[in-house]
Amino acid sequence: MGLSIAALAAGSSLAGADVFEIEQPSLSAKLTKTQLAALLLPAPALFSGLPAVTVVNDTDLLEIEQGGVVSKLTKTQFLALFNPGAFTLNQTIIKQNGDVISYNGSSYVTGPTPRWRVIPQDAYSELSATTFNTITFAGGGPTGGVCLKATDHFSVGMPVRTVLAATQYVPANTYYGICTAVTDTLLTISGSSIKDITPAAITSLSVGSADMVRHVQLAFSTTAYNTVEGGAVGKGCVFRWKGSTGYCVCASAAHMGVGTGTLVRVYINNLTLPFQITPNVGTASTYGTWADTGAMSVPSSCLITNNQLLSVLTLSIGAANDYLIICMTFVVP
Amino acid sequence: MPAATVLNGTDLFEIEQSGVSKKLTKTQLAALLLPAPALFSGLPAVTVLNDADLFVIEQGGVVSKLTRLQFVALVGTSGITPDQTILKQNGDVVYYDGTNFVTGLTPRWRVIHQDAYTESAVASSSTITFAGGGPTGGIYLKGGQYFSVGSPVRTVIAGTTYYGVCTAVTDTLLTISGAILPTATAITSLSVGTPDMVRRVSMAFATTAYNGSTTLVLTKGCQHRWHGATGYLCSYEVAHMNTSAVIQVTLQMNGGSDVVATGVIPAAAASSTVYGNFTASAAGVLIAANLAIAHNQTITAKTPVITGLADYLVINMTFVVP
Repeated sequence: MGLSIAALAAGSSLAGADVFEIEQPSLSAKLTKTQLAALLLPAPALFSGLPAVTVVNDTDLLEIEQGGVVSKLTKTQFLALFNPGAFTLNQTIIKQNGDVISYNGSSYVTGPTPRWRVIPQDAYSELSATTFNTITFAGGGPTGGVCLKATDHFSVGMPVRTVLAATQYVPANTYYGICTAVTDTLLTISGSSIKDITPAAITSLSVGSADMVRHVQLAFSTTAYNTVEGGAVGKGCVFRWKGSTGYCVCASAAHMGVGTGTLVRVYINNLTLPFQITPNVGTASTYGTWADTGAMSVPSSCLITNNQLLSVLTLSIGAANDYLIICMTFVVP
Repeated sequence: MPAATVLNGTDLFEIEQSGVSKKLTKTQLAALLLPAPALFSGLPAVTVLNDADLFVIEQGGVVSKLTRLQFVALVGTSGITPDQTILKQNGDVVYYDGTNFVTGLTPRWRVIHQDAYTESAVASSSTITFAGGGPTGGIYLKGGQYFSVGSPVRTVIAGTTYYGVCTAVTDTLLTISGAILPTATAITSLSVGTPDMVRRVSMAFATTAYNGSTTLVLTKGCQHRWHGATGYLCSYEVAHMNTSAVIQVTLQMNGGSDVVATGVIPAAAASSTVYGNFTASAAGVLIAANLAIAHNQTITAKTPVITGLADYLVINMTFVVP
């Protein structure tokens, strides 16, 4: 060519028909901008031609456009974008038809619906129980995701399971009851005493489901049930327990008649003393007010198992009393 | 021509533009031939994703492809992410609270989708109409897909909660035994409970002639001390021995007002030695304000009408304990 390119005028924007000079063997030739671009910029490779991924690793990279800049993203970063709090089921025990997903304190697992929910230990005082039937809660709003009010966890009638660091009545350290009152800072329980002879710290506290509560009523069907000191009360005052073991947590009794001081005991299999109670005096034609078991009057040994009998004895008698009614409530954990 | 060695940005190329020979710097030419990588934003938008669609992934330094199926399995788009505002506890289950999946105590009520039933008003004081038919938009529309006989029913109307028990159900009609439902008022919510909410209590008058007074409560076995969570009477049924067919039996929760305006009449028996049939409170007759019974309160019975001979009354009550 011999021509100084520098002496040429500057090109403006390029069009597809603009022509470049190219030297091919023994020949100086022209090439349009479109031809040149097609030559130098082949179509992007199709993904289908790439090798298939078999295992995805945390350090694998994905392409992402971020603020106009094409960037890379690791698989770990990518997952965090989508399900940051997603859980992974522990499948050590394979799921079955009818299973639900629950948390067992360390993992999400599949299985039957849990019956007890463990209360976070930050919510209540774990120190030795200082009363027979109450547990102190911190109260106030949630802290660190932990609900601190007793009312966040309990309502009246809910089963309560308390495990102590020492035992009073039974070999096990577990005491059952039902919530009878609750405020932000105090849970009141009717059931077996949670105050040990030697005060013991609370190891765990749990709330149960409503289906654990079972009620039994006994009624003496005529007059003068209290005729024999220490005698068994018949005529309707016997009950045969079926099913899982139950723990008596409260009882109430009422009778008609003017006798005072009649003391009633409920026995399991004629051996174990669940509780005793003194019904309030009534009249010949009306019931006295209900007498309830006190906070500590149901020992933790008051449990009844399949096919055992509940029966009633009169410990002291006095003047005649009639038509005794005993309403009992059990927790069947 | 001599071969170029190192190219500089100011090196010139010759170009013919519209019949005129012009120059082009190496920088201009590079920009022309090697533009910046295309941005995704310039690509056409995907409207439908197919299982065989491909994503690109670099694995161990190799650019590779990933199908949409692999991709979905990777990111778990159908997975569950519980709201952990309140931390999970041992014994929690995962459930949906209407907004999020959360962890907590097993829920006791399942709220029925409002598209399934007629929200504008109940069909009667004891019935609710369902749409019926096949599922629409993923919503079951038949009453029988939510309720069965014995299921607890919770109906909220104008800020008041009414409890009952399902006594009959078809594809299009739910019948409830429980508190009288107000008509011509919109239903705020309708829910189905669990069988453990249903509690039954029996009382029995232990001798003859229980019908001695129209005002005094019955004695001789006919009272009950309620323990635990508050319950709501949903129905009661009565039977007695002997021939009266007019005696009415009503109940009072903790000495409150009668649970019905007109007592339930036990069916007459053939004689004083056999029981007549049980008679149940009719649907839609229990007065909502008089049905609650709380811990350590007493249930009593009364006979506002006492004509005739009647012995050994038996009363069976059904409560919902929500």
